[in-house]
Amino acid sequence: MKKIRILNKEGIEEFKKYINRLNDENHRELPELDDKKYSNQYEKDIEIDENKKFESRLDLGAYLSEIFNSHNIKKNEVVGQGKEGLWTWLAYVWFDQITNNKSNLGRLERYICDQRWHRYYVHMILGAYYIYESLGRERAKLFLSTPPYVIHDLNDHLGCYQYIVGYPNIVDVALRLYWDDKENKPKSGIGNKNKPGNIRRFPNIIRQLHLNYDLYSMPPEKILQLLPQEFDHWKKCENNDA
Amino acid sequence: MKRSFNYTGRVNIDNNKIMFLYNPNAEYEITLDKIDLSEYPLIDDSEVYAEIFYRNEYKRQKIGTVNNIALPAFISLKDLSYKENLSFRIIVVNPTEQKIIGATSIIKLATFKINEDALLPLKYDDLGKVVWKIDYEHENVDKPVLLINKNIPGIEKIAVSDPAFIMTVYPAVLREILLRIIFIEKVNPKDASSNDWRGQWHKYAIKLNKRENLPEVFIDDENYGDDIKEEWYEWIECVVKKFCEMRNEWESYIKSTDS
Repeated sequence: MKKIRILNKEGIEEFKKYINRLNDENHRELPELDDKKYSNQYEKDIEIDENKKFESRLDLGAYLSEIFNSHNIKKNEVVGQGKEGLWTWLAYVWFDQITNNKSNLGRLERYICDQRWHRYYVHMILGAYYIYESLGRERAKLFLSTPPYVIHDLNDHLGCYQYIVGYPNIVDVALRLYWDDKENKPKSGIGNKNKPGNIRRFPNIIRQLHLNYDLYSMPPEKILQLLPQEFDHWKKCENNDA
Repeated sequence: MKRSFNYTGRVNIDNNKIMFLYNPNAEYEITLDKIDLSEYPLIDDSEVYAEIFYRNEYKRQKIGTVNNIALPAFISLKDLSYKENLSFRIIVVNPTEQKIIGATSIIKLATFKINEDALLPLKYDDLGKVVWKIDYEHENVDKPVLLINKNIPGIEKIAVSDPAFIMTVYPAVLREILLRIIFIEKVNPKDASSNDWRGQWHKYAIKLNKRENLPEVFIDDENYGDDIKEEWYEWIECVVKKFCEMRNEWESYIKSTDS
């Protein structure tokens, strides 16, 4: 176990340099960023298990949610401007897991949290925690049911919209359309740009409906009725058979 | 000529018909003080909501129906992240069809007026090269008024949302006012009337600090020794410390100075 720390500017830069050099075999060992030169202890004494293994991003989000809630720390206390060092440190601690031992490297913003870019959801750790804490397990599964080193298209294409992640009933609609209850995972083919009613179309249609309808208070069944015909296929099929 | 099309028939509510107030003493306590929908063709029992949002944060509060709006409506933003960037909107919803039949455009926090009934009214004035000062005899206001230099670019937004301003100016304001009440005006918290601004500030200080370290003996002509003064200085510092601890701007402030 180790106490949560927050990377300072030097620590974030050092971590960034390390990630950028990762193709060079000589530099694959993680730098020591728990040194006070690079990080400070979080204001409260909270411990995490740096060796914990996560089956999925859902588990990761759940773990952090439980940790913070057990210390009465609310989401708005750890999310927001000025909190980037915390999330970048967590990405540093679990770096091997969220990169599959450095074999699944993504964009820098997956690991270096930079909330100025309005893209909290792309960060492997912050995105998982935020969505889990905002939506709860049953709804967050839509976005987070991937190995800890994978971000599903659902996360990137739906997670950025306030009128989706901020509206639990819209997430319920997305679950009805895109979640396979039998297989307990997203339906296959939902990210296919050529398929009508795919996950890229969903936010566009919801945005149009949102202009005219009070979607926030509308039950999912009613929203489903408002969706155009292109989504009928997803309403009907239990598993992709197109 | 700029043309616009309104295919939805939705009423565009003028932002000037709405008045949000911001209370600088309470952490992001917003009051919807005025809303005038009288000139718009809206169904009487349509529901009126205040929406608050930024990025994926969203909150709404019902404030009544078109013919029965409950004002003032107090809205707490404590549970929201990104407080300094929040946007606001008023929407009117037809409850039968659940259609939005009226809406303002987005209203930003920086455009809010300061709540005059707030413990510390805030006004902008020409102060030369002084950034801020407290005026204890401002016009007809019978309470301290925080004057902020209007010549500083963007000061109206800075004063309500900049972490550096909030973490450096407001604690100093609190300290100065309490020092004045106790050492100059010599008003004892135990005797202070809640109808008087000194009593209201004492009440605020005790609410912040509970009754921790509240000295037993007050300063008066008989009791003016250094030890008693020191106890009251310490109490004031405890109150200021509690004020700072309850603010969420600390981390943003530290980050902004980390260069």
